Amino acid sequence: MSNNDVLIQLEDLGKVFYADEVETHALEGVHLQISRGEFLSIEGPSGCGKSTLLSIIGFLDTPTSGQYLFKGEPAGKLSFAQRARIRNLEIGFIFQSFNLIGDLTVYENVELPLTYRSMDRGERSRRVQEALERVGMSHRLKHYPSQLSGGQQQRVAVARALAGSPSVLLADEPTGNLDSKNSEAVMELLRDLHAGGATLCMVTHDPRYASWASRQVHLFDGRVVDDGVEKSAGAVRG
Amino acid sequence: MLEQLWKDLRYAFKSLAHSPGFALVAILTLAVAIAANTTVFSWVDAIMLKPVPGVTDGRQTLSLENIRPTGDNISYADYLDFRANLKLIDGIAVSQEPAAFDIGEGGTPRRIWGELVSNNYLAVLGVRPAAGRLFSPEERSEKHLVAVISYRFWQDYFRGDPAIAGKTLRASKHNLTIIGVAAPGFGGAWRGLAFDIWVPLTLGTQLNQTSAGILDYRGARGLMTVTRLKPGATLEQARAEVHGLAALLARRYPETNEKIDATLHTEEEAHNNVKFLLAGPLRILLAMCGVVLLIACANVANLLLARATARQRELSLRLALGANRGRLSRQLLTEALLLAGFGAVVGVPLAWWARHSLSLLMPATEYPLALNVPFNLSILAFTVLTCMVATVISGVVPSLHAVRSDLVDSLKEGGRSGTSGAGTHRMRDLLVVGEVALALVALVGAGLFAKSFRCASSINPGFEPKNVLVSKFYLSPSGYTEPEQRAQFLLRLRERLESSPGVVQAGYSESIPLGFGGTPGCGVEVPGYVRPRGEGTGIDRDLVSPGFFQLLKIRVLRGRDFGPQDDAKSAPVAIVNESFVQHFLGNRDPIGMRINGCGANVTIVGLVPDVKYYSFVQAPHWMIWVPFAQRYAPIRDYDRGVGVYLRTAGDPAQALPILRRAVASLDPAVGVYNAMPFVDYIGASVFPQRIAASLLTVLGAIALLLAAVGLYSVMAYSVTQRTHEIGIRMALGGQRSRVMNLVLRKGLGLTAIGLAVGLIASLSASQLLGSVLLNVSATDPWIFVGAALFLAAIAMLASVLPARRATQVDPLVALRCE
Repeated sequence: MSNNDVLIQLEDLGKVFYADEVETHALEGVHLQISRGEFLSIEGPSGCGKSTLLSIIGFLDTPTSGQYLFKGEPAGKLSFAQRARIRNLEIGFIFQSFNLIGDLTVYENVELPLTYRSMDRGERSRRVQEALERVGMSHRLKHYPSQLSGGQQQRVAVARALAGSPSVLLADEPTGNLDSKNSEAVMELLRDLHAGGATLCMVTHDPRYASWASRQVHLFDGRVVDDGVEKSAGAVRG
Repeated sequence: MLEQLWKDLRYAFKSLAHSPGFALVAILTLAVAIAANTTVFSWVDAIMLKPVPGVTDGRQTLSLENIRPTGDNISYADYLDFRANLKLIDGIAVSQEPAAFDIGEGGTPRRIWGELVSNNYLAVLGVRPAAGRLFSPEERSEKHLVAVISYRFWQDYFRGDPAIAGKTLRASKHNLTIIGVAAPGFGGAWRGLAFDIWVPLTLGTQLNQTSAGILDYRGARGLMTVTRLKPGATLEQARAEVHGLAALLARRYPETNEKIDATLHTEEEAHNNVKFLLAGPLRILLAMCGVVLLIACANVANLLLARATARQRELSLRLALGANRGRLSRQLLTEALLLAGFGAVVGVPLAWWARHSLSLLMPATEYPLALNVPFNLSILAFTVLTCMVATVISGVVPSLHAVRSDLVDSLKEGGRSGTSGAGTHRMRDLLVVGEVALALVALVGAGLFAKSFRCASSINPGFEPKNVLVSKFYLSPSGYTEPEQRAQFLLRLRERLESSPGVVQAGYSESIPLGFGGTPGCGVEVPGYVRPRGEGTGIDRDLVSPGFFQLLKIRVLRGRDFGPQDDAKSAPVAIVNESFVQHFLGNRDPIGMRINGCGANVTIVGLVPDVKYYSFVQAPHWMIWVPFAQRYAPIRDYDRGVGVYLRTAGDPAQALPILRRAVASLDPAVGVYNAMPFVDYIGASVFPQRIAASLLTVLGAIALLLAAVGLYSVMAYSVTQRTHEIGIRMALGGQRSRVMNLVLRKGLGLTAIGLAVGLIASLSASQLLGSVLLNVSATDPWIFVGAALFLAAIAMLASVLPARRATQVDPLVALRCE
């Protein structure tokens, strides 16, 4: 694997939360690389730091120690505005609770990240249509989230993540609020996206869906206990 | 950029549509504040900022006034000297006090009001003719009495006749030749009054509107001036020039001008200008409107903060998807802007309607009041500015708070979306404290002015106005051109009225106490009195009917009231007041003393207390009363009008038909205009206090209501936020009373801090009110304590309702919610 293929590199990363003079070490000494085109799952028990790690990868939060390189560039001293720009251009988020805005239609929800770019209306429309077609929701353009099922809402959320053509899709328990049938459908969608070349990083505590990823990272008490590289290489060799 | 703004607006609209309750409260709150501000600004604009209507010259007008204790007006002879010699002023013109004209003949004539003016009056003001021409400098036709009429009268009476110039108008038994029509909107230089006719002052004696010697006698000071500065000259330079010339006149004409100085006044300083009366109250009203706007904004900011907290997840999501903070702040500000915009949409029609309320508060008077408050672009521009201010004040704090949230936590499933952090709580508490403090400032202001008005109204004017009907008559327009004719008519009218059932007593006087215009003066020489240099001989005098003092319940301290025996054939008599005796006689008994008063040797037959003629707060001033029937030679002047009084057993307003019948039975050509209870009539003296008290009470009530709504919303929100906590407390055995105390403590704690801040702010602000308050200390402790207690009581009420709701929380339901 060449250095150019490495999209995300975490070196000795740590995160400490301070509350009322109590220090909570959410992450400690995390080393992790994510390459372009990988489908990575991060597993672990509740409170092990999965979501914190995903938040740092997604520029929603900042590490307390260590280094985060995104596309080879250090991300440690970026301003809030610079991080917002990277989130908008490079990251696609998929949340457990979908996080669609109830007052906006399906079309407007998917368009939302594009409105934060200087992109003309025609281009935005083309991208929204394309993203919704990819998730099979192009027939629900004018619907509001409340008019959709949970599975449909998550597909719209995936379309919103895809619309900006991000470098990586970050999914935080994407099936956490879905029944098994809808969960399967969403996972198939993610697998199809990966097959099409997308880079995915998914947090889950459900081993059934973790296995759908090409590489599984295990976290325990804020440390990476298995970065899944060997298994992944083995799988490739095998 | 525009597309983004449009998008933000659309989203803001949709978002508000989803929360109609919130939107309605916020919009109404802002609408009330915007309407109040726009209304008061429309008054400020009409009275303080705009040039006199119909005047093309936008430069500020000035008034040249004498500086002397008994008045500010100047004489015609002095005017001519000022006009000829002042180099730094751009024209100076004079006008006499309003003159009544009765139009038409037969039946009841139509009464219109006009001014007798110098020929250059309209030209100096910058009035253009709408038809015909204005007066020329040499306008003095003995054959043709000329007049310029108002546009309004032209349209109304002559139906806009294009051939008006040269037409004859029958007015007050004279044929006036109309030479032109003044520009639309022009009604004279007195703001608030609208005259319909202007006649050259030099024709005044022919029209019986000025006394014969008024144009020649330098001591006859009855003219008001209007002038403008020459370009390049400063007011101070021009004042120095006026002062210098007045000193020169004083040296040259010591009998009439000694120690009489003169100066230039701006409209705000000029004593005959409504600006002078209303500038103070209007400034205070505008400041109070600012306070109301701040309270309204704090309320809306509070609501927006609560809403932003509820929308935390959505806002965090937008940040997660790449929106920067500025972009998001702009979106939230757009919501505030939309609320303010809707507030303006509701508020502007309210202001449009309310702008006329100033007219409702104008005093009752016979003069043609016309306070035209137009709604123009500058008022709308002010409204837009108010909206912007409201948007920034109410929107900035919530938008900054909203975008500073913890992104990760807000986006989590079960994260703290919908609950506010300590910072937001503090900010909301701070806003309520601010609202309570501002409301106290408003209440204290309203309280001080209400008390000032009450005190001013309850000052003993020296007479009893209750149960008296008063009506001002101008008899010369009906043909009573000679003083004897007028005296005869009035005597007969008095007899007829006193024989009417329901009338206790009737009488009349030339000047009406506490009415407009004060009293004319006359010279007095008292034997033995050595006049200090420069004191001047003039004192106030009034011509009164027999029984005048008894009628107005003015106690005769020594001697007697005038009676029917004091007629033209009997020896001249006079009654003086206590100040007169103190000043001229050193408290010696005045009864039987002979003095030279008003041009005749008169015997003092009575002593009365001081009576207030100019204002409730006028300083004691020496005065002389003369029987109407004895108006001896030097005061045989023109018809200044006469006030007719009827004392009744019951409601004086009911006596109006009696007065009409009596007048009609004597002469149907004499009309009865503007008869009103004397109590209403003298209300004009406290008109500025009345306006300030009435409007500040309204604004104080609005401020109180808004503050109460603000406190209620914070307390209600706090209870909603603490439902779970209250549920736990109650599950653990907490009593309802303890829960109630918990909520009340917070509400009253905030109120207490707000009151403390408000008291300090009120003490500072009240120092500015001292000069406008009458007989009330600006730090009156009763008002301060009363306002604070009243506000505390309202705050208690606003807190009790949410507190009661807190006690209704079902622990089971509250705990399940979590």
